[in-house]
Amino acid sequence: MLTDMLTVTDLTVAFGNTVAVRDVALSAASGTVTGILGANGAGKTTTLLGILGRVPRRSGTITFDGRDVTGDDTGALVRAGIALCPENRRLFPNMSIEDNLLLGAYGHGRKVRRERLERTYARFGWIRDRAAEPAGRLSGGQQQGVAIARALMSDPKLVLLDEPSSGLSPVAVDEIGELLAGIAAEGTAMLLVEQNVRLVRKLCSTAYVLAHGRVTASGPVDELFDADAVSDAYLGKAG
Amino acid sequence: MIQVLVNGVFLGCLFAVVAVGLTLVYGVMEVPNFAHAGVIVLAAYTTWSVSHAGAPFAVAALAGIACGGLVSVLTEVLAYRWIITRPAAAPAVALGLLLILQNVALRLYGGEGRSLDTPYDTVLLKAGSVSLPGVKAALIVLAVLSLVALHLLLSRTSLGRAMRAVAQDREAAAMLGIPMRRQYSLAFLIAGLLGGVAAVAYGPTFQVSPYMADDVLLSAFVVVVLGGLGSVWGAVAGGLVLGVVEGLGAAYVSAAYQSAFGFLILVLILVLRPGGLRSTNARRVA
Repeated sequence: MLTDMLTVTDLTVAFGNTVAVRDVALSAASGTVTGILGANGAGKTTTLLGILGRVPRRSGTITFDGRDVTGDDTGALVRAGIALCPENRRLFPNMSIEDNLLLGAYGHGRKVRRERLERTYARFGWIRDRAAEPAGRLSGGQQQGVAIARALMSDPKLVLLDEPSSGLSPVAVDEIGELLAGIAAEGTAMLLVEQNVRLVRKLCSTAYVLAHGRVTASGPVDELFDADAVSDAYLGKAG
Repeated sequence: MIQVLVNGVFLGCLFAVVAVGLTLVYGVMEVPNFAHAGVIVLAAYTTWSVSHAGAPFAVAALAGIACGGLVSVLTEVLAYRWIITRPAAAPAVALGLLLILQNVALRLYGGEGRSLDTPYDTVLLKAGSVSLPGVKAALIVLAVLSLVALHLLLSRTSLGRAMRAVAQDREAAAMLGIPMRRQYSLAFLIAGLLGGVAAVAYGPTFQVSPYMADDVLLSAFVVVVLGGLGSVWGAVAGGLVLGVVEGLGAAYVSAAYQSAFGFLILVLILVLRPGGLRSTNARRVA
C-alpha cells in the first residue's frame, strides 16, 4: 500500500485578478513518479511553484508527510523535504559545479553537506571529476544531471521536476529517465511536469491532466492515453 | 614616479573598499546605494566621538566600524526592503537616505570639520626617495585585510556561497530555500562594515565632516562601473586602476582635475566596454 507523501487540495494561484491555477487537487506517493501533463500555459509550472510557495496562493491546503504545510514558506518546505528541479535547470553558471551542489544543502551543517556531496559523487562519478568547473560550461544534459543532483543534496522526500527533458538529446533524455527511475525506486516521491510523452509513459504510474489551470482528467497513465484525455488537453479540446 | 604610484595605490585602496560595499549591495539587491556615503560619515563621527571621549583609538575604530554596519543594516530594514519589488524607486530612496544621514550628522555635530587623531599620525614610512605617511599606510593595510576577509567569506562559507547565488539568480536561490531577507541584510551589514573601515582609515587623512564621503562615493561609483556591476574583484581592480590614474593625472597634469580623470576613464569604459572590465553575461558577487 503506497502512502501519499503529498496531498494538494483545492489549490488556487492568482496573480492579481488573473487566476492561473484553480482548485487543483492532486497527490504523490512515495516511491512513485506522478505526472502533470498539459499544453503550454495549462498551469503545470505554476502548480509546482504554488506547492513550493513561490507564487501567491489564494486558497487550498497542502499536506506533506502527514503535516499541514500550507502556511510554510519555501525555506521551511525545503527543510521539510521538498526539492524543486526547476524548468531550464536554473544552475548558477558562474559558480563551480561543487558550489551549485552545496547550495542544494543550504542550511545544513558542514559535516552533513560534505557527506551528501560524497554521496552525490558516488552516484554521479563524472561530476566529481569536473566539480571545480563553472556550471555554465556543461552541456544541457550534464546541467540537467547537476540540477537533479543539486535537488537531491537536500535529501528530499519529494522532488518536483519541471520539464527535465527540455532541450535535451534523445540519448540524454533516456539517461535522465534512468536516473529518475532509480531515485523513485529508492522511495522518493516525484511530481513530474513533462511534455515528453515517451518519458512520461516510461516513468509515471499515474498522472493529472491540466487544461486552463484546472485538472481535467487523472488516473493511471496508460488509461489517460487510451482515453485520449492527454491528446484532448494538448489539442485544446478539454476544459 | 614610484611615489605617484604609491599615492595612487592609497587612493585605489580607498576607492576599492567603498566600491566593494556598493557593488555587493547592487549585486544582491540591485540598489544604487548612495546612502553608503552617509553610513561612512556616521561611522567616522562615531569614531571621532569615542576617541574624543578618551577611549583608545582601536576601541574608537571598532565602534566606528560597528556603527557603519548597524546604520547600513538599518537602511536596508527600514527603507530598501520595502521597495524591493519597485526597483525604479531605489535611486530616489537612496538619495533621500543619504540626505537624512548627512543631516543627522549635521544636526549632531554641526558643519565644522573635526580632526580625527590616530596613534600613527606622526609615523612616516620611508624607502629611498619614497615616503608614505602612517595614516595612508594604515588605510592600505586595513583595505587589504578587509578585502581578503571578504574574499574568504564569499568563497569559503555557506553564507558567502548563498550571497553569490542570490546575486546571479535571485529566484533560483529562493527556490533552494535560501532566505532572501537574511541575504539582503548580510550584504548591507558587510557593506556597512567596509564603509566603517573606509571611515576609520580615510577620516584621519582629511577631516570628518557631513560631506566628507561625497567625492569618494562618486569615484567609487565610477569604480563599480569600471569593474562591472556586482563584481567584487572587478571593483578591487577598478579601484586600483582609478586610484593610479587619478594619482598620475594629479601629478603630471593638474591636481585640480584629479576627479576629472576618473570620469574620463568612465566615459571610455562606457563607450568601449559597457559591461565593465570583468563583464560577463550574468551578474555575480565574487
